[in-house]
Amino acid sequence: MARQLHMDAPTLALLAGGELPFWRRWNAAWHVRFCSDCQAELRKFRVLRAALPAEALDESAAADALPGVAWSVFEAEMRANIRLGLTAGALAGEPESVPQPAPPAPVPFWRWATVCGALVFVLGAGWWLGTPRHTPTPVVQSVLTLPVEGEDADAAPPAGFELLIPASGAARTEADFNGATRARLIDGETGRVTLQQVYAQ
Amino acid sequence: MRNKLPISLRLGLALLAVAALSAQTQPGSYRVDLPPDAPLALVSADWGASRATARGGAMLLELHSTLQLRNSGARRIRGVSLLVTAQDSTPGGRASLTLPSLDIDSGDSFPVRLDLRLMRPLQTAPGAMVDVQLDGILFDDLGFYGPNRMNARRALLAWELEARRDRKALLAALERGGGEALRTELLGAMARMASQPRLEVQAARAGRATALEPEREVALAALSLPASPVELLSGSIRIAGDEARAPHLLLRNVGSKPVRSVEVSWLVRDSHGREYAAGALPADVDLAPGQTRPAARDGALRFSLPGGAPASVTAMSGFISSVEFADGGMWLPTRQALQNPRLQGVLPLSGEEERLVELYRRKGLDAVVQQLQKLR
Repeated sequence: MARQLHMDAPTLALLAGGELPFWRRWNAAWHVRFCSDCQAELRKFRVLRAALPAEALDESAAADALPGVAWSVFEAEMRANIRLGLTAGALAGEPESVPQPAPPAPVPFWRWATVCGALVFVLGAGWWLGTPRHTPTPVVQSVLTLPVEGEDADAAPPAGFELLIPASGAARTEADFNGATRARLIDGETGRVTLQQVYAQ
Repeated sequence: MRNKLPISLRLGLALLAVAALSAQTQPGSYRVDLPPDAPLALVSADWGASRATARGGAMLLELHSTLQLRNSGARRIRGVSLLVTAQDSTPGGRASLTLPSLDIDSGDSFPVRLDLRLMRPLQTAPGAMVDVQLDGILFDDLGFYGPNRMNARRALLAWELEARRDRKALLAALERGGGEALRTELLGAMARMASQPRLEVQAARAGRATALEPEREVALAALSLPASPVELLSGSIRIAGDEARAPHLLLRNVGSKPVRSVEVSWLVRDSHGREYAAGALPADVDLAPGQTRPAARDGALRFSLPGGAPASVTAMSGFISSVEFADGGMWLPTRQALQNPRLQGVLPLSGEEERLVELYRRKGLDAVVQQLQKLR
């Protein structure tokens, strides 16, 4: 059996005073419209509200409305307790200020800058790693005549040899009647010599 | 919550960057295969911007790589030769990379730059597109390790012996007249290098590429160097315009040791009477002492001037520039023998001379002195 849910008393009291926000007021009014119990409760609150004098509903006049309460004594007691708590905390080595939950601060600019920097770094690293870290210096280009698109390699014109001399560094090229092409590249910085030879057969 | 999005974004971008990198290098496409017992170990292989491009039925492979190798043996390494194979049977599908003049101590690492273009058929068996294998290592005691498939031993040994010969001469100049004498030698070599006319030589397939000029057979002029164990008795070659092809040589072993191979260097004369050095022909010839044997090749060379204009060839001459004996020994002409008036002004500097001259240009005399004393 489904249990009938009702509006709680504070909500009905606020509804009676017209102090609920728009959405909650609309929701409560919709419920009350079809709930006889809540209608009865709401009616009681409205009667009570109508019975109270206007000054009793004014906050600034609350002290005068409750003459039995010694507000000044109560305030002094509260202040003393707070002061005592802070003093005790300081003696115990605790921080003087009680940490308060920080309000959600807006994301500072430097954090966005850090994230953007990280993205740029990753992209840059990917590009750098994928790029040759040296200037290629092709010394020997083996094939002078390449088969054209769609042509069988075996039926292509006979291959020859061409040598590419790097712009920097000393290079000497040679060929022989065996069909081989040689290139001698000397790196003046390291004193290292590289001999490359491509064979035709 | 606030930081999750940037982190996930960053991770995603990093993964994208890694994926892009791996797609470019394709590590499985390239293989460095060193024998397990080789005194050389692969430390790392960066294939950089190496890529393959389909061209019709063939694939053009551009290799740009740095291999980091380590001397894992006990002996000091003086030279290394690597064989780079895209396809054994395809013209231009195979290359070798030789590094002479090294001085790598045991346990030391050194880089090897590899910038090559190779060809291979588009459809081949699965596996690595490019194989890098060891062809040989030369040690400081002139010992050799490796399969020697592309005659790496001969190339490395010839370079090393020639380098020792030339360093010894420069060191003698240093000890005789100090730094100034060495500087004079280096400046002289530099002047020789600058004054020598250069000819560009391309290897071409056998068969004439031009019908503009009639082909004629000309006799080779044979130059004889003192103490050469092999003599070039005679020879002929077919010349047409800027092409020379099909040399025929007659060689005689005038020494006392069996010969395994010789290298014949060429001098070319153009229609203006200028003479150029034009490479060498290594030839495997088994010559017993006293034996005479012909050697022939059907390859062709095409000559052009540095600007690209064809060089009209009128005559060629040759001389024996190195001899490899059957026992592994090697003969090279002495520096005095190379003072031949015919060769002076034409013969290029040796590789070691050129290396030291380049070192002098870039780093000065002290760097050369240091090299000479270190490799003494």
